[in-house]
This record gives sequence, structure tokens and C-alpha cells, in this order.
Amino acid sequence: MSVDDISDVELVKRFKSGDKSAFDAIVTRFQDRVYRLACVWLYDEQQAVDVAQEVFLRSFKGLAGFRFRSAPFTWLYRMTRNVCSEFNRRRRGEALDSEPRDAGRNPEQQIADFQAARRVRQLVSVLPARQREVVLLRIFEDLSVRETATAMGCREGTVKALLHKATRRLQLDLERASDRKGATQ
Amino acid sequence: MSDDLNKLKRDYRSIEAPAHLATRIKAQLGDRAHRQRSWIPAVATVAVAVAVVAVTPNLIDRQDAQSATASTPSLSLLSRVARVKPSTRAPNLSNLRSVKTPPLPAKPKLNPPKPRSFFDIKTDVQKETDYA
Repeated sequence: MSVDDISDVELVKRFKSGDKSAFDAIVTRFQDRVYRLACVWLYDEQQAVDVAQEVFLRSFKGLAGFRFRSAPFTWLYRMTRNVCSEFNRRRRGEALDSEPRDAGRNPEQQIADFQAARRVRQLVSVLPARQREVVLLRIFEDLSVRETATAMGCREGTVKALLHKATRRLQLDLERASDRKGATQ
Repeated sequence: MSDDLNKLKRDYRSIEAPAHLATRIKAQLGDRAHRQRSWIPAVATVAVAVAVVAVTPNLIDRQDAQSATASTPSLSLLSRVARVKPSTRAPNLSNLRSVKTPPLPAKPKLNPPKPRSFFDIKTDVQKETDYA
């Protein structure tokens, strides 16, 4: 049985029982999702790598106390949100760079990621904070309603209501944007 | 869901973490493990224990040597002698309660005082003259 076939919970259990290689698998499995979230939450994409690194370093310590009350990704999501808030507080007032500067990556891919993250951020930035969170988790990260509720610390009904309001608002915004695009062409 | 939103979702899902992220995390974890100083308190405890064990026999020997060379009884020895209690058993005070004693005679009742009128009160001078 390869590491890819093991469930998230089983991976964490292995890590807790002392299997250090399980942590490498956890990083490989979740790094993209944590990085994506950090790209959207942060106002500076360059720091997304730092945030992802910090999240995994903290989780290395914190997973020892993980009690399986929620899914591992939900737990990681909360940590990502907290670390992003810390980074944003620290960066407030500093000048933001407009271009990515990660020299070790393919520049085209890097720019595409940068633009996708920026578009998602622009899209959800019109929403109130809770609706933004619901959209990110439920629509973009494909979490279930229950997982989203656990991650946000609210009831499933609240998630459904917030999602309903958010999608209506997003639909309207997207329609307006496409109308404007059609009018200019 | 609109096509635009679906496209955005696809673009979002295509974002990948840089390849060096995992390597960076591993390197950081290695560094932290290397820099761990959790062994310091244990080593300090062992060092203190060894020092105590090494010093204690010397102290005991010195005390023995002092007591052997002393020609006159020291004050500390005297105090130890003075503290020796007598071997006779002291009577238990709580047993005293068990000894039965004859009951005390009833307290004689005094005659009730006569009611005194204002004219019975004598001054000190009158008392002295009566006495005389």
C-alpha cells in the first residue's frame, strides 16, 4: 500500500506513532492547497511560500496534540488562516510588490498562478469576510458543508445560508463584468 | 454555477506550490532538530549529582577526623548528652481523671441580705465613732 492510498487521518495517525516519513507525505499532500489559500489570503504572493512553510513547521509540532475532532485539512486550514493574519498584520503599511519574484520557478507558470490568485482574490474581495471564507472552502476547495462548518466554527445551516448569499452576489458581479466586457467590444 | 466561475475555479485549482517548498520545510525541520537543546537540563542534573557524590565522602571523613582528634569534649557533644532523657516513665497525666475523689461539701448558703433603708447607711466617720 503506497502512501497515496492512505487516508489523511491514517497519515496523521502514523506520524503520531513516530513515523517521520508520514510527515513528508502530509506536506506533499497538502502543500498545494495551503499555498493556494495563502496566495488568496495574503496581499503579497511572495510571502505565500513563507506562510506555507510556517504552517507545516507549526503543524509538525502541533500534530502531536491533534485529537481527530476534525479533518486534518480543516485543522491545517485554520492554522493557515491564523498565520496569514499574522503575516498581514506584520506587512501592513509596507509597500507591496506587484510582480512575483520566486527565481526558482518557471516564470510563465508563476505568473499564471499569480494572476489566478489575484482574480480569485478580486472576486471574493467584494464579499464580507464570512462569505468569502465559505466561497473559498466550499467552491474553490471543494470541502463538504460539514467540513466547511467545522473549519469556520459554525453550524452547517449557517454555511448554507452564507453560501447562498455569496453565490447570488458573485453571479451578479460576474454578469455585470461580462456585460461591461461585451459593451466595450 | 456560471462558466466564468468554473473557469476561475479551474485556474485556482491549477495553482501549485513551488517544488522547493517541501525541501525547505525538511531542511528547517532538520535544523530545528539539530538545534534542540533538550539534553542540557538532563546533563546539568547528572553533573550536579556527580559533584554531590564526589564531595560527600570527603565531608564525612573530615567530621570523623575532627571527632577523633578532639581531646576535650566539644559543646556539640555536651548538648547531645544533655538531650538524653531519663529512662523512668513519667506518670500519665490523663490517668489522673480516673482517680475518684470524694465530693466537695455543699457550699453554705448565705442569709439573704436585709433590705437596707437610706437611713441605715452610715458614713465612714460614723463607723469610726461606733468602732471607738
